[in-house]
Amino acid sequence: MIEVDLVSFLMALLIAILMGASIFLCTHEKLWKKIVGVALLGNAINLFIVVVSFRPYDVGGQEIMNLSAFSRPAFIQGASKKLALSLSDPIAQALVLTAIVIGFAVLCLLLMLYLSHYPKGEGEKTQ
Amino acid sequence: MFLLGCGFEAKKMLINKLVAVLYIPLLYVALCLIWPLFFPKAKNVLAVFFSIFSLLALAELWSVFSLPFPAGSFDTYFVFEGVGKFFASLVLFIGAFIGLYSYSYMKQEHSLTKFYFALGLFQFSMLGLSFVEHWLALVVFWELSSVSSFLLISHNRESTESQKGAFRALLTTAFGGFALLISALLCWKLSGSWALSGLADLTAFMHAGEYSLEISIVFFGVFFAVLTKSAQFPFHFWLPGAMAAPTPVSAYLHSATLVKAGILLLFKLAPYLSAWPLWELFIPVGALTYLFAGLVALTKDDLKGLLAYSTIAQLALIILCLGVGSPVAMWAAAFHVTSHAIFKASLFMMVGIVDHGAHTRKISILHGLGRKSKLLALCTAIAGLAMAGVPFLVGFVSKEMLLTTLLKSSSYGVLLCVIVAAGAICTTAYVLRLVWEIFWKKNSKPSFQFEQPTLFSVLVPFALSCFCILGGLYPASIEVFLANCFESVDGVLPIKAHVLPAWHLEFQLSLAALLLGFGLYKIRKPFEQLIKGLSFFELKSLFDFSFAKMIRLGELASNLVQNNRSSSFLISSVLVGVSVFVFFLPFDLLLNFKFSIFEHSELLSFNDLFVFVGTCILLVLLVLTMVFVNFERRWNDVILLGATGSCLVLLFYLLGAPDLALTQATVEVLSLAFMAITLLYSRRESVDRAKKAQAWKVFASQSWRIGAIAIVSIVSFVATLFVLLAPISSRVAASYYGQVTKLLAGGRNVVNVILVDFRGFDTLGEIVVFSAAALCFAALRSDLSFEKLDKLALYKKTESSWMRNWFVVFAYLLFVMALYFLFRGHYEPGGGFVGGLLIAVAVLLIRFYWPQAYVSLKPFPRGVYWVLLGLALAVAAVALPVFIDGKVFQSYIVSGFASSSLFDFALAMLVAGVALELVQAPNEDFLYD
Repeated sequence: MIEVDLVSFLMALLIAILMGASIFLCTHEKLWKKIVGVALLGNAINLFIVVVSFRPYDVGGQEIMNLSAFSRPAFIQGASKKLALSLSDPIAQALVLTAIVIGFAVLCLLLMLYLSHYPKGEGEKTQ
Repeated sequence: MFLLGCGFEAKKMLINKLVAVLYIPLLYVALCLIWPLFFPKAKNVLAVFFSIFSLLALAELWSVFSLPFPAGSFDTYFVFEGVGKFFASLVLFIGAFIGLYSYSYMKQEHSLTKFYFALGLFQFSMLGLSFVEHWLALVVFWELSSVSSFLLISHNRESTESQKGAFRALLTTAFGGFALLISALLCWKLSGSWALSGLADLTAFMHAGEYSLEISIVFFGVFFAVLTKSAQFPFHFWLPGAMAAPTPVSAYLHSATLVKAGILLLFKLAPYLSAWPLWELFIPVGALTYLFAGLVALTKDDLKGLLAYSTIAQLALIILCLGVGSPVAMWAAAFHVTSHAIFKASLFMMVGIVDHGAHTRKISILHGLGRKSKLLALCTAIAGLAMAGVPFLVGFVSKEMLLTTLLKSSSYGVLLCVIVAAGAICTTAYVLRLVWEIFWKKNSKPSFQFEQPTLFSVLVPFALSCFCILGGLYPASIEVFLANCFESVDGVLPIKAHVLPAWHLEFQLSLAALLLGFGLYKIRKPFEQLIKGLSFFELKSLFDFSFAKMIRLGELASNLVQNNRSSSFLISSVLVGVSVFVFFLPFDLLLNFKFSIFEHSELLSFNDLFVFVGTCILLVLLVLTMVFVNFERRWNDVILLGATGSCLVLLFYLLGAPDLALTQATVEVLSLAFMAITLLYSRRESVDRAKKAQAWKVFASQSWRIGAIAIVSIVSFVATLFVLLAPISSRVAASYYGQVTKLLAGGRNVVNVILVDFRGFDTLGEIVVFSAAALCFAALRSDLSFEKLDKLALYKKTESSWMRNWFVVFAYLLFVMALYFLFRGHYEPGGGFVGGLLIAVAVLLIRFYWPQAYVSLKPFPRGVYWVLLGLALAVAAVALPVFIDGKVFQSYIVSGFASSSLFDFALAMLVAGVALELVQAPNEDFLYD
């Protein structure tokens, strides 16, 4: 018997739509759309990793940062102390952080390619 | 026992000294790169340096080994071993001669830098191979020697012959390396240790009757590796092909180094493997190759081809002897290895001189050289007769030892001796062809030009020939060398070398072989056709055939998936992704289906849930708009993409990743800006009007596209749901980092501490990728000219606006904020990446709203230099501890300040540098107008 809660289902649907949309854009015949699609694909994968790494783990009573907004004391209403420490996995976060920055570099590179492929001729109006 | 007697520190120091010997060829390689920059005319001097460095390394090696040192190894990649010392000494000793020889030989050649570079690299790999004690390091050095010898053999770029030969050598020996890797992995799997001594455990398993299949695979991996590297039948075909190399290379590779690597491996593994019954397989292989190669050498017209087959034969003799496996046999084999290295190097050098002088290597043309160069003839005669085993020369002594050993080895020792003697007959015959025909025989061959070689070039092989006489008259000299190397094996000499042995069977056999060899030389003509028929057994054609088929297969495969059609790209990548997903799907979990509920949902307050679900819905709407509305204007895509990024910022924050939220936010600002710049300077792609009207029909007709989207969506849906609903496993790594962050790295922000400290190496790799992308960007940009286009630039419109002042103030505030985030990164959300990105935003604002101020920034280095500086600082930050206590990536907490923050600064500098490079995107020459 499978029980699926609302948030999990919603997240799965969200990521599925994001991935599908980015594949749609990546396969578009226009280079511009392809670039947008690649950027979106990076976002989708980053989100996927963060979502699936959103699990509780034991920090052994250490005082650390990166608490989820959901698990900040102000947001918790009657939850147990252990669950109060549920966070996104910091390793996954560290990986995604660099992925975001590298994705940015890749986007810039692609934009430069686009620019060198379709440079504006003289006298053309700004769009 | 020894280990207890000697302090760990002292042993570590000694191993470091041994590794220092390995650094000497690497220093030479570095010299090869630097020297031509300063002395482009005198590249060939590098040959002399090769000799000097070889001698230096030899001196260093012997001084290291003169230190008191316990036998055996301990948890390291390298080992102090007599075998290693023996082979390394040979490699360096012959290397010194090779250097001098190539100084005279390579004068007229091209691309000498590459040549000496590869030679140094090759010597390094051989030295590494000598001392290695770790399976993986062994495989690495093994393959390195294959690759560097490929570079050496393929030196002559114009000749297809040399390219083909080099490819054959590379592929054959590299496949041997793969076999070795299989052995390494299996041995590690079975014994749990990467050390070569783990084979001892396998022997124990074998006696217990376990893992018999795995153990035989381990053995055959080694067997295959030895056969390919030492060019034994049926993998001998690459060695004659490798003769297309320049002669110094042939002399080096085939006397003391490359082909001896297989023998070195046998020496290294013999203590563990010689007790295995399979070990005796080396005897028939050696015997077969010895006879086969000896016969083929008789028919070769090319001098180098003749020497190639004689090399194969001599190697086979050594392998045959090693197949016996006793310490005595190893002693005799080592003796023959030494004498073979000396006489074969000398012979190859002689062939090179003849080739240079007469511009041909054909025995059918060459004749009467003895009258033209007496010294050359003398030295060839000495080395050749040493190979044939004439008394009072070194080859005779070692052959006697081999025969004595084989005779005593086992019940069929006499048979082995007869085989060796039969091979020796061939040896004598082809040596006579080599020495007699081209130097002294008078006949009616057509005359040819012979340029007199310089005295210096002949002196080098002559010096080696002198060693042949020395070793023959005073075999004790080689014995002392061997005893020095192999003292760990046994205290007393296992077998005594004699200048002239007693009148025993082995001596009689030797003399008979010499006489019969002379006879065979006289009557060989009728047999030549017969022997040439043996080339049917050459696998060369089979190899070439399968090589061509392999390339064809590769072409087919790449045509299938890489045919410049996006459909096939997509299908193949989706297939790979899905199969990886299916492969890693934990089926056992699926079978015991017991889902837990997403625990966090009950934690959500109504407010949070509202924001969370609302953001998700907004995100979905944005994305669907991007897909379903076919915008004319590209700006809409930019805005929509920026909006999805902002939704992501919110989601990251809600999901407990404030660092990600910060980074994503700054990245969104920057990408929005750069997309805007791109739009300003580019034109729209023209799309067929009719096609556009039917956009949906086109889409519907591309079924592969719909399929790909469907598959990717479904897979990501299932994957997300599956991971989210699967039972929560314990997060060992995350918990560990969470617990030790404060203690070990002095920070509270786990994410940032992981980035710059715990997993600093990963981050280092990632910033290298990042800078590479930025450098590509800079390179692309320099191809474009924006001068005229820039008249349209945005800044002109706002130049006199009051808004400008506010933007500039804002930019300065951003600088301050960037520094704040940078400094607090270890404790609160922030860090190097965010700091650098914020600096980039500030630079961007100044660039577009206050170009005059931006011009005044010109004295600052370009972005690229900041990038390089950042990289250098990052490397320095992680390498700094080496100078303090010798551990890379170590970090310290000095009065509350964590040293890994330095890495943070490096990150910020690098990211800001990249951004600086990016905002310069439109050519900025116009700023000086």
